[in-house]
Amino acid sequence: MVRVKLASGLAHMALWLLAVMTLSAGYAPAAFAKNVVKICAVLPTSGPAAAIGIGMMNSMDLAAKQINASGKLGDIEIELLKLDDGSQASMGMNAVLKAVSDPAVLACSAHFNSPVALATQDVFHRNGIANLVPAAIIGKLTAEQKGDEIFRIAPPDVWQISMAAKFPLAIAGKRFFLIDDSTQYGKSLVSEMEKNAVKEGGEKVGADSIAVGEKDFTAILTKAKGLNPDFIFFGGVTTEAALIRQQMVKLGIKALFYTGSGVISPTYISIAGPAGEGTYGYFYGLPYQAYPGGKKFVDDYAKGGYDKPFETYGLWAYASIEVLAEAAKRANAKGTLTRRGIIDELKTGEFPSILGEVSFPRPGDIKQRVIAYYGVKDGKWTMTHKSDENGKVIKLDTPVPLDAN
Amino acid sequence: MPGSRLRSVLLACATLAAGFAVVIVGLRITDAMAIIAYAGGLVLFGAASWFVGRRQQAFTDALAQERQLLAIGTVCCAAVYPFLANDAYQLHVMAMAGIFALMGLGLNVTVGFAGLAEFGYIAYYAIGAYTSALINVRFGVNFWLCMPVAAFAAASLGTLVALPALRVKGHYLGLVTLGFGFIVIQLITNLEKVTGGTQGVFGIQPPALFGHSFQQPIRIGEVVLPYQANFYYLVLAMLILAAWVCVNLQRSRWGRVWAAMQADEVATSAVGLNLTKLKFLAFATGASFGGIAGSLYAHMVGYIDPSGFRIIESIFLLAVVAVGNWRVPGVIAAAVIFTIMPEKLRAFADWRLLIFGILLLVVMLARGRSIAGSGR
Amino acid sequence: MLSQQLINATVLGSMYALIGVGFTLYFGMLNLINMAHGGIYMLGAFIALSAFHVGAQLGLPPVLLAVAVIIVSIVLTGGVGVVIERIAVKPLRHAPPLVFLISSMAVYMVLEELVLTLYPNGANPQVFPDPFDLKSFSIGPVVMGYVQVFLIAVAVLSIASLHFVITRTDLGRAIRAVTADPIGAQMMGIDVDRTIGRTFFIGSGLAAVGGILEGMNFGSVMFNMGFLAAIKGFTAAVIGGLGNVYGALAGGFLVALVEVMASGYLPGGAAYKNVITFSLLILCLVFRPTGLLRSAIH
Repeated sequence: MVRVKLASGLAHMALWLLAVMTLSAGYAPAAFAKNVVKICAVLPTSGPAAAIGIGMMNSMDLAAKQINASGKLGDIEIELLKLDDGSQASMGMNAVLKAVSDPAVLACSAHFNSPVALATQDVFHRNGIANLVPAAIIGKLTAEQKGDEIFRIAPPDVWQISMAAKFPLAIAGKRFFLIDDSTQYGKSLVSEMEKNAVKEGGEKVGADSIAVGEKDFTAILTKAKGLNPDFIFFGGVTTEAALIRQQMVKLGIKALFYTGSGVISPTYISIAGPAGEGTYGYFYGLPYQAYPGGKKFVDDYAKGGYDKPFETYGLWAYASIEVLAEAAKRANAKGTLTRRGIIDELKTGEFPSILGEVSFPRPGDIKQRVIAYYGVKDGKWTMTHKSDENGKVIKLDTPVPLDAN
Repeated sequence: MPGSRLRSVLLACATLAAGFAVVIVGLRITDAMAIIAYAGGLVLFGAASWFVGRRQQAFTDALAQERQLLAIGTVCCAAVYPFLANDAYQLHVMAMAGIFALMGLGLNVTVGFAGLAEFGYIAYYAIGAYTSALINVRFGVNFWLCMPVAAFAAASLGTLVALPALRVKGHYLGLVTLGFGFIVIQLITNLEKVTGGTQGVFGIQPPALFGHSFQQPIRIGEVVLPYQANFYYLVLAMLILAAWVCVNLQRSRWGRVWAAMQADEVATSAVGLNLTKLKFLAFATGASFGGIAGSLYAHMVGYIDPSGFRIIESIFLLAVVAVGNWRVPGVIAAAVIFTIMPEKLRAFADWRLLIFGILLLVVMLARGRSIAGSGR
Repeated sequence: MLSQQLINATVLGSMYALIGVGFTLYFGMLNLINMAHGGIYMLGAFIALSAFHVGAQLGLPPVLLAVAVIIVSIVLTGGVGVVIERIAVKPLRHAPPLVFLISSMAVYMVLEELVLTLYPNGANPQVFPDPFDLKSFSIGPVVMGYVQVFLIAVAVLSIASLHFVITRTDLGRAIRAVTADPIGAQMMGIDVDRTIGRTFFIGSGLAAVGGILEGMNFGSVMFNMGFLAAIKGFTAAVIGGLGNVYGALAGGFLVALVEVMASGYLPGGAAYKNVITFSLLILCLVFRPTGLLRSAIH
């Protein structure tokens, strides 16, 4: 009796095992084509920066498609490995580890958020694979890297602020109040701003910190109001900036509200609403018309069938893929189509892109830089001033709106 | 009777082999539809074997008899696994699953064995990770010393949390522990001079054993395993140790006394047992597992920051323990499944907390009246 | 400056008071802590937001729309509260309180995740409209938004209605009876189940108002706004003595005051304000679970 029941139990299991095997037979490993170069794209396509991340991912996708279609890489085909880092270090680590363990991945363009980029930098170094960072601007990522694998298609925040500090002093006045969002990014922005503004003759009247996710800033702003600043500088990201601005307006604070590039996005305007008018920010990018490939990119993106806009950083994401593809092509021509080969090309070459000619001299940041100043006018971020190479603030004759669609 | 013993051994081996094959296949599948089909198959199988188990007592008896064999067999399968799945990313995920299982076991000691509410468990994980990371990065302390120090730090925090437990019980204690958990994480975020704040801690050194750094791949003859295998085995070893400790703890005097305390505190103290000591021990022991888990995580990943430690994960851990039915193998299995599923299924990852919330609710509703680990 | 901070505290206090009342009512009747209440608070805000979007299409004048939205949200959220009571509270009414706490947290998680995944772009903060377009006026050094006056009026009206229900209606009497002595109340012929259901409706409706207050005052709502609000509301209830409705109201303002003073006057205080609130909660639970204010039978 027991024997029968036992046998039925075993048969039961065997049958099921068979079923599972059949199921998994459908799973066949993808064929590895020799001339496919995989580039991994790690961006926050979920989480608080999802709008920006998706725009960048779409732009990178467009770049890969167009480069392949143009045939200018010869016998190489670019395949984009798309991964999500959700703006979180732990997710970013998982994504990067996954990408890097695939031997067909020869280069990466990873991360929008600075903390995530800092978290994964060691993985790139340990595996000797390039990361051409499309947007995380924290200076130490390149300046203090252990190896030579990290590049960036944007200027570091330290440089940006050394230029940007001159603007509010020229336009609003000398007295300023600083607010940071307690993150590494926010705090470094604020301390750099203080250093540079004071150097140019500014006077700090006070400072305070808020926490990301908080909504009630009336206490801090009331304190700031009492100190009578000419401008209030906020180091942080979009949502808090919008709420701070709203509460500033509600409290009747007349000071100029000045903030960094992380805030210059349509999301700020939609959250802040009419209170957003008159907000100012600095950004290392010009409106797309100013770039040689800008208009074509915007037209092609519109035809590409993407349901979300490319947002503020689309051009830089596109350019990152252009640069990596070109580096792969050059390495291939020299017979060194490997991860190290691509890194060496990136270190020394000049690359054509929609942004113009770009290069990445040590420590890896982009050489070609500009700072533009945008104010919110009629619900749009509009470029009204820019800095020349000496940092002098120049007013434009005709303001140009920053169109992110 | 030797015949029936042979039968039960064979049955156990067959079950083990089948289970192992199922796991290997499951980890290899990447296509979303296949995964859903697989998960469905798993659920069906689970239901079928529960059914079979109920009907055929001989089946369950045989398995129960060979419990030790099953345990050893599982360990062997786990040890062999990296050779079969020679993939850095998969090993990384399995190591994370093991770390999570370690935390589940720790929480189970406090909540399951001793019946004390603990809603802020993630704080022990955080303290363990930060202690280990900071002494390693600032003072160059070797990992093998960092880990016990981290365990001790977490246990100390556990003792602190135990203090209110002397006065407060049941749901009040739950909220108090939640508060503690929240405060610890917030302090870690705010005290930048010590912890680096939101910037996190970098450059945490990987462990080294007899000159072999854990960042080097393992070479055995012709076979090369990616360096993640080092951490996989380390976590496996700690998990086995933890499971062994738990099983023995439960069977020991402590386990029985804790169970008594859980059932009736007044009677227990009337008999002369020191409730204070019992509670301290329960919290501290459970916490130390979390501290070890945190230390393992920090040295495996090399970088930690506050965003990796969120309060909602404490509730998630409670779900793991509840679904695992407060038993060691169940908790481990639940932790492993719950860690792996989000990696396999993107959609699952987005709905992870929703699914677990519903699961937790269902489990609580089902066991509402008679619940192990409910405390008062 | 101080007066400005006090205005901030008043609006904040109304939010915490409204959610705290729910906690205290549930505790009074069932001796249970219902963490799902935080999810209800958040749901109320989101239902209102959706109603706003719908109503905006109809082209109603903003203030009228705001009032309509509040009413709609109270009714719908109250309904959800009753459903939750039937599904997740009633079966566990006599379970060990810890079990109930865990399951109520599970319900909270479900509510939070449902909004996160189902509401369009749910992961991000959502803009909550201000029916007064951010207009404000000054009285001396103090600046107050029109919307804040509106919100304080709404809060006062809600609290007054609650007081009316509790003291003047049969339902109120039933609530008081069940809180004081459930078995006795049942023996007197009061339908305990129905009373509890209705209490959930009231508690949820008030929480919805609280959520709307937060949305309108700060201009934004997010799927996870319920967690901290629940902790603060629960702290308010504990301070006022669990079961004491008027205590919870006072407690709400006390918590808000502490928070605003800490942010405004302690250096770096804003970063610690939640730590302070949690510490307050822990201290109360451990040392004064009956509340800081003398608990009177309401």
